[in-house]
Amino acid sequence: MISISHLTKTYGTLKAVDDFSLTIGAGEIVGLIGPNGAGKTSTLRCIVGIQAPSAGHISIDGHDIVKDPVDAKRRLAFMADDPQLFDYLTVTEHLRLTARIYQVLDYEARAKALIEELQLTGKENALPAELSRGMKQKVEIACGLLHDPPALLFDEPLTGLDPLGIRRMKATIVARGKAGGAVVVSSHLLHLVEEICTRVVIIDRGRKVADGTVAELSEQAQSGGSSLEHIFLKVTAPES
Amino acid sequence: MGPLLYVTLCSFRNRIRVRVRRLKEPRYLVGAIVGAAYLWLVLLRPRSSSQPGGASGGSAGVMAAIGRGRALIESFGAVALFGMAALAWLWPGQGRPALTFTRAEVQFLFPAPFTRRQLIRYKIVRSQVGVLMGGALMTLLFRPATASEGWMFFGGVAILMTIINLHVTGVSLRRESLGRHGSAGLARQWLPVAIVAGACLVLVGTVALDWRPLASSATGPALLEEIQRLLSTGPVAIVLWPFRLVARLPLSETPADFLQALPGALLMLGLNYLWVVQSDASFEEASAQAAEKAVHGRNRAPRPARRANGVLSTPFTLALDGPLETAILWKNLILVGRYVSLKTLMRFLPILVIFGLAAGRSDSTGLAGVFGGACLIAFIMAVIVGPQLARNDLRQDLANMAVLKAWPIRGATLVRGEVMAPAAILIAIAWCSALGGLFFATPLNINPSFLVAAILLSPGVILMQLLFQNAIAVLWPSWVVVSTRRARGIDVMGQRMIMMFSLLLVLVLAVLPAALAGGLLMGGLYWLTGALWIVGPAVVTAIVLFVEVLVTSEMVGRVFDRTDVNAVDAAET
Repeated sequence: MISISHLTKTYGTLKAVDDFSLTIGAGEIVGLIGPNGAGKTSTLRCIVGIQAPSAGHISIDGHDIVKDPVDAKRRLAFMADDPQLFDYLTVTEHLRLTARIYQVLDYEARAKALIEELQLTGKENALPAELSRGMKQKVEIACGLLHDPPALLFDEPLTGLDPLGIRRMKATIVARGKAGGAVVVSSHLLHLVEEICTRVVIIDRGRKVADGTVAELSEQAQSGGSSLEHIFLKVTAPES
Repeated sequence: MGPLLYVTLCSFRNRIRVRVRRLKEPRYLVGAIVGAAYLWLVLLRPRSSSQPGGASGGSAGVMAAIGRGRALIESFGAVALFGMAALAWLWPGQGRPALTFTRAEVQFLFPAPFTRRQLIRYKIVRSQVGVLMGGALMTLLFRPATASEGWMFFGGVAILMTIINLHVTGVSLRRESLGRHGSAGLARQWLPVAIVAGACLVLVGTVALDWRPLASSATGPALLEEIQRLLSTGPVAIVLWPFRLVARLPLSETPADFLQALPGALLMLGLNYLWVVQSDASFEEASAQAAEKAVHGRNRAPRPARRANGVLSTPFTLALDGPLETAILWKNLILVGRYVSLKTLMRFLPILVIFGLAAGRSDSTGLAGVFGGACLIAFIMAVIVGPQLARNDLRQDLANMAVLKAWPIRGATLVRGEVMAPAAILIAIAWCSALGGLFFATPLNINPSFLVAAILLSPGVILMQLLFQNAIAVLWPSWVVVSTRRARGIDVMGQRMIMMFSLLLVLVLAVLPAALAGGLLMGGLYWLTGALWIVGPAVVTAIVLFVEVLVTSEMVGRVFDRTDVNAVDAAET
């Protein structure tokens, strides 16, 4: 579903992502973790076509994000860590605009269901300035899920959410995976990744340093502990 | 050194460092060179003796002019200062906090153990940086003949600006304080307002009583002499006395005059300072809210009106299928409908009235001429100035570039959709104005064919300019102001000048092929029939322009597809 082959992204002399390859199949929920500045967000932004890769190829459901961006993006949803909403559009208008862009003809029913699922009921006519950060996050996610994309990318999806919102968000992500979506969740919350992801990829200094289930990673890292935190710290420890 | 002074000095030093460091980037370096050259040309270049106020001709122009009419300028200055003070009391800024703090200042300083007075003093000290820069620029602009004259002018302007700053802050704090004291406070608020209103009445009443001698003044100098007499005698002189004390200082001719005027100005400064720092207004909440709004870029936007059911109106209902350009048009028209108020449009009314009156008078055509003139000015403004002002397109959307790039839309489609909203508005204004001009064409003695041609050509010219503005936003996003926090500096000024001239040049080059096609047809028709055809060639020109617009939108769209969101300078968003 999502295929990344030898992705490299450089900013001037800085190599943010270095020869990164990954394939995510339908129904997989992959946790992308790494220290600050490891290249997670750059990787996600390259996958969704916000940034152009410096080298390598990315395809979504067989469509190359550089050569065939419109068809590739139609199959994608990216929920950024910092929700960017249009200041002057209400929640409903954001959804309607998204429906038109992605040609979602049964918008009314889908929007209603998403508003209920993401606890946005009563906020339909609110402008972003009238919403909390968590609510904005939910609006962004609702827009992302509206066209029911086969590939979903979440960057820190739990930031700003209350405990009930966190539980519902986790359920939403898992449901999308179970429904056959290829899901990537980038987060520093290792317990979240451990709980909902079927596979974990650790990235450090732009390179993939570990890939597998938590059990496989534990075996590979010989971490002396089975928790993802132990594995993460061992794998990303600075070389002495 | 206290922590607040430390913040002020470090911020100033680091701002200079950032500006110097960014000169390593060619776009800022080129901008700095152009900006510095402009400043040198305007402010520092030695003037030839043939120019008024040339260096070799003795004293510089403006200062020399001040010397000749010092008393009158002092009076006018006092009236202007009185006007500012009166406006601050009678017409306070709506929803603006008394003191403006940045978000960082709110987060670091408000919870810190500082007294309210310390915070007020901090803001006063911070504002002095701008005051000193403004004073220095004005001194350079006024070109004093000697160093002592320069220092006196600079010192005088700096003190004057500080007093204005303090007084406006004091008025805002006073209003906030009184407002928080409930009905008793609101009642107390009437006293200063009544005093200011009374002072205004004195001024207006004096002018009204003396209207006949004023109106019958045969010459300009006689009129000025009468005004000077009015402003320096009787009750008006008493009202203007404190303002005259302040206005006198930068106009001092000799050091002795300066030293004589200094105590009065310092007295006003001291009184205003004490008044401000002794305020008990709890400004924190309003300042914190304003800082948050400023971060989200809507600090000046009015809250849109809702219907009774809480729903906000939209220009039209967006269908779920159809061209994607329409979706972007819908989105951007909503922005205009919700945030452009009648008040914003009314700002342009004086320009229309003044130019309309000028056009009407010059042709001696009466009211019809005035309306016709106003229509033509509105048309020219919509076509030439409008594309720079109507920014509800990519320029507005640069902050959301990551969202736009993630949409499954071709760059060209997006660019066309983005320019459609401002184009629709400007074309509507231009066409209405041109139709108005057409209605009043006879009194203005304008051939209606030219107005029809203008109607035909205006969409292409407007669209082409909008496309160029958006192309700059895509090619050099950091040269476009994308938020309320405007970038400053000589380099930024230079960038804007380069952008303006480049736009003009590119527009001329772009319109040239269309104009050539229309011109050739016009020439051919003239050669064949002996008559000057206007509308036919205008149709051809408009068609060529439209094709050029489509081609340009494709080109800008391709650039957009290749643009990296990191090109939008984070420091300036």
